Amino acid sequence: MTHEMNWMRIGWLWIALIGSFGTWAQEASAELTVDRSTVLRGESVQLTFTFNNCDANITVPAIAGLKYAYGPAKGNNVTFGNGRRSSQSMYTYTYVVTAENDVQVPSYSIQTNKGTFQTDAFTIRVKKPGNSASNRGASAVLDREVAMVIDLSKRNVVVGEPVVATLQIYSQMSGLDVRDYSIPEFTGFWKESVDLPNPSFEPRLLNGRRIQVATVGKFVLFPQQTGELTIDGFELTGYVRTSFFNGRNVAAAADPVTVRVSPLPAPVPAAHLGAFKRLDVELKASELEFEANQAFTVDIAFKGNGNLKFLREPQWEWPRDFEVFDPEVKDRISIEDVGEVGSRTFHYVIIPRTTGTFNVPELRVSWYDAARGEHVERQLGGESLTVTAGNGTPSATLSYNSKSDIQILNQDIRYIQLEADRFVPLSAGGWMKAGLASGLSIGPLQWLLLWALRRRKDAEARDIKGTRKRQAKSRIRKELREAQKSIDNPAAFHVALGHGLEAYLIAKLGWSQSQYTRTGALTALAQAAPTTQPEWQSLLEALDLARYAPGSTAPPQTLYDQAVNLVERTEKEWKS
Amino acid sequence: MKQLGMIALMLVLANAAAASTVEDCEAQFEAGNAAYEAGSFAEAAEAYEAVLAECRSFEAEYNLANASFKLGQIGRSILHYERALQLDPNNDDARANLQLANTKVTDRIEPLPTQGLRDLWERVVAKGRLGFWSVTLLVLWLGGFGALSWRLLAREEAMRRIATTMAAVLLALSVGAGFLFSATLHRDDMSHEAVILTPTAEIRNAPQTTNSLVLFILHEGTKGRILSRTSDWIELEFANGSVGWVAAGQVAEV
Repeated sequence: MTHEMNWMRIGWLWIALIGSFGTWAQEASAELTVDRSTVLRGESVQLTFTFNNCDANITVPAIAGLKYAYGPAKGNNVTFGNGRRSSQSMYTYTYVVTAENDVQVPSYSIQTNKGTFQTDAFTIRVKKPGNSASNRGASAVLDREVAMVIDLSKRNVVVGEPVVATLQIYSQMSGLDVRDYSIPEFTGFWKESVDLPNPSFEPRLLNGRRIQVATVGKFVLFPQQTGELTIDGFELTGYVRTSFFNGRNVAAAADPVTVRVSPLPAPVPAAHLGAFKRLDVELKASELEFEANQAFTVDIAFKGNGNLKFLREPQWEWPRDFEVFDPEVKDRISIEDVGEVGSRTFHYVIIPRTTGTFNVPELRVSWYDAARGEHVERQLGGESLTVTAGNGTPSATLSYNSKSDIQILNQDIRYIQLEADRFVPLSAGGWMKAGLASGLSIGPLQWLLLWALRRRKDAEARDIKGTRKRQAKSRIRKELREAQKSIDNPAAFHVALGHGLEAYLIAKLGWSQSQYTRTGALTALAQAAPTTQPEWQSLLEALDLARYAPGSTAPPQTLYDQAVNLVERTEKEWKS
Repeated sequence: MKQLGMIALMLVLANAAAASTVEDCEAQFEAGNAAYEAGSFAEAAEAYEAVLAECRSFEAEYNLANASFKLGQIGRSILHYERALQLDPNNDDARANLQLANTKVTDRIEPLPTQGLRDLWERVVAKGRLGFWSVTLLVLWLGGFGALSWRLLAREEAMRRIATTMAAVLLALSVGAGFLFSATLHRDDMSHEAVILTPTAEIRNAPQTTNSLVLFILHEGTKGRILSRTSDWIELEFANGSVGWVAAGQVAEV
C-alpha cells in the first residue's frame, strides 16, 4: 500500500513539472515611450523601446525635429513568478530637440522574434523659450566657462504668492574647484529654505553639449511688497586646474532677475488670509452634544500649499456662556520644491457653562487662490450644539455659573472732584511760616516768663525785709500818683493820701490789713524810725481832720509835699 | 501801641486779600467743573490752570489732570495726577486714574526692586504733608514747653518728675517732627521728579546736543527722578536705573 502511494506522488510532481515548462512562452509586446512630454528647444529627450518577452534588432530611428545624440543604452530584465518566466529588453536613445514646434513621433512597425508589433504615435510638446529661466540660463551658460543661474518658477505673482528660486552653477570645465559662493539676500521676500542633498556636479546635456551642473540652493520665496523686486548677489569664486602644475582663479556672478509683484486684486474680501497656491479649510467639532462644564474641542484646519506659517488665529466670537481657551497651534508643514506644503490646525478647547441649544458661531475666511487667479471665500460653523445638565444634580451644574466675573466693557478715568475742601493762596506761604514761627516761640517765651516769676518769688522768700521795703515803696508810689491825680478835688485827695500812707505803713511793717491800727503803727514807728513818728502822727491826724473840715488844714499840695518828704526820710531812717 | 496797631492792620488786610484770592479760586473751579461737565475739556483745563496760578488745591490738580487726559495729553495728565498725589498721597481716585493714564504711556520701564523705602519716604514727605507736619511740630513743641512750665509750678517732687519725663518725650518728638517738616519744606521748594511732555524725548549722556550721544528715546508721560540740573538740561534717573540728560523744555517738574 505504501509503495503504491509513493509512485502516485512522483507521478503528480512529473505532471506539474511538465505543465510549468508548458507555460514558458508568455504574451509578447513592444512599445515606444519618452521620458518627458514637454521640453524646451535645445534640451534632450530620451526615447525608449521596450520589448516584453521578445527581442528585435532595431536601428536608430530618425525623427523630424529631434537630432540623435547618443545611444542606445541597453537594459534587460528577467523575472520568475508563479511558475512563469517573463523578460524585458529596453533600448534608450538620447536626442536633442532642434524643432521650434511640437515634435510628432510616428508609429513604428517593429519585427521581433515573436512577430511584428506596432508602437503608438505621440507628440512631444516644445515650449517657447519666453519666460523659461532654464532656457535663459542654458543659453547664458553656453557662452561662459562658469555661469551662475537664478532660476525662478514664476516671474509675475501677487503679493504673498510663493515663488521657487533655484540657484545653480553651470560649468563647462571638468576641474572646477568651487572655493566660495554667496546666496542672494532676497530683499522684499520672506524665504524658506528647501533641504537639499550636498551639492555636487552632475553632467547634463544642453543644446547637445555636455555640461556640469550643481544645484547649491533652493528657496521658496513669499513676496511681502508690491512692485518689481530684484534678486541678485549670487556670486562664485573658484579655481580651475589647466594642467598638472598650473591653474587659474575664476569668478562668476549671476545676472539679476526681477519678479513683478502685483497687489491682490480688488476688492479684497473681509477676513482675508493672503495668497496661497492652494488652500482648503475645515472645521471639526469633537462632539455636538455634551454636558455643561464638560470640555469639547473644535479644530480649524488649513491645508494646502502656500505660506502656511503666516496663518494667524482667526477672529472667532463665541457666546459668553462658553469659556474658550487660547488655541493650540499644530503645524505639519514641510518645505518642498513647490513651497510650504502641509497643514496648520488651530485646536480649541471649549467648556460650556450653561445648558441649552447653541450654534457653533459662524467663521468667515477668504484667501487668494493663485492657481485659479481669484479670491475664494468660505463660511464655516453653524453646527448645532446641545448642552445638557448631565446626570449630576442640576444645582451642581448651575452653581458654577451662579457667579461670574464682571465683564469690563469700557475703561475710563474716575470723574472730577465736584467740591474742593480748601484753596490755599500761594501767597499765604510766608504768613503761614511766620505764624508757625510765632506759635513755636510762644512755648519758650511762656516758660521763660514763668521761670523769671519763679525766681523772683524765690528771691522774695529769701529776703523778707527787702521785699517788704520794695513792696512799701512800690505801694506808696502808686498811692501818691493816685492822690496827685485828685489834687484839685480836696475831699478825694485827703481820702486817697490817707489810704496811701496807711498802705505804706502796712507794707513796711509786713502786716495784713486786719492787723493794722493807727496806735500800733505809731508804736512801731517809734521803735523803727523814732524821729519821724511825731510827724507821721500829726500828718495822719491832719488828714483825718481835713475829711470832716476841709478848710481847717493846709492846702492839698502842701500836704502832698509833706507826705513825700516824710516817706523819703522814713525810708532813710528805717534803713539804718 | 501804635506798632501793635499797625501789625494788626496788616494782618487784617492780608487776611482780606487772602479771602479774596480764595473766592476767585472757588469761582474759577466752579467754572472749570461746569465746562468739564459740558464736555468742553480745553475750557475746563484753562479754568483749572487759572485756579492753580493763584491757589494750591488737590482738587484743581486732579481735575486738570482729568481734563488733560480727555484731551489726549497723557504727559500733562500724569504730571497733574502726580502733583495731586503730592498734595493728597492717599487719594484713591488720583491713584486709580494715574494707573490708567500710565497704561497709555509708550515706554514700559521695569522698576528696580529697591523702590519700596523710597516710595514710603516720598509719601511721608509729600507736599501735602506740610500742613500735617507743621501742626504736629507745633503741638509737640508747645506741649513740651507746657510740661516744662508745669514742672516749674509743681510743688510736689513726683509731679515734677512726671512733668520732666513728659517734656523730654514731647520735645524729642517735636525734633523728629521738625526734621520731617524741614524735609517736606525742602521738597516743596525743589521738585524731585519730572514728566516728559513731548511725544518723544532724546535722553543724552551729556547736557549738550553736540559732542553727546543719544542713549535712548523716551515718550510722553514717562517719569524720572531729578538728579541734577543746569539752566537748559535736567539729569533724570528712570525707574529701571537708567540715567541721562533731557532738555528742560521737554519735561515738567512734578
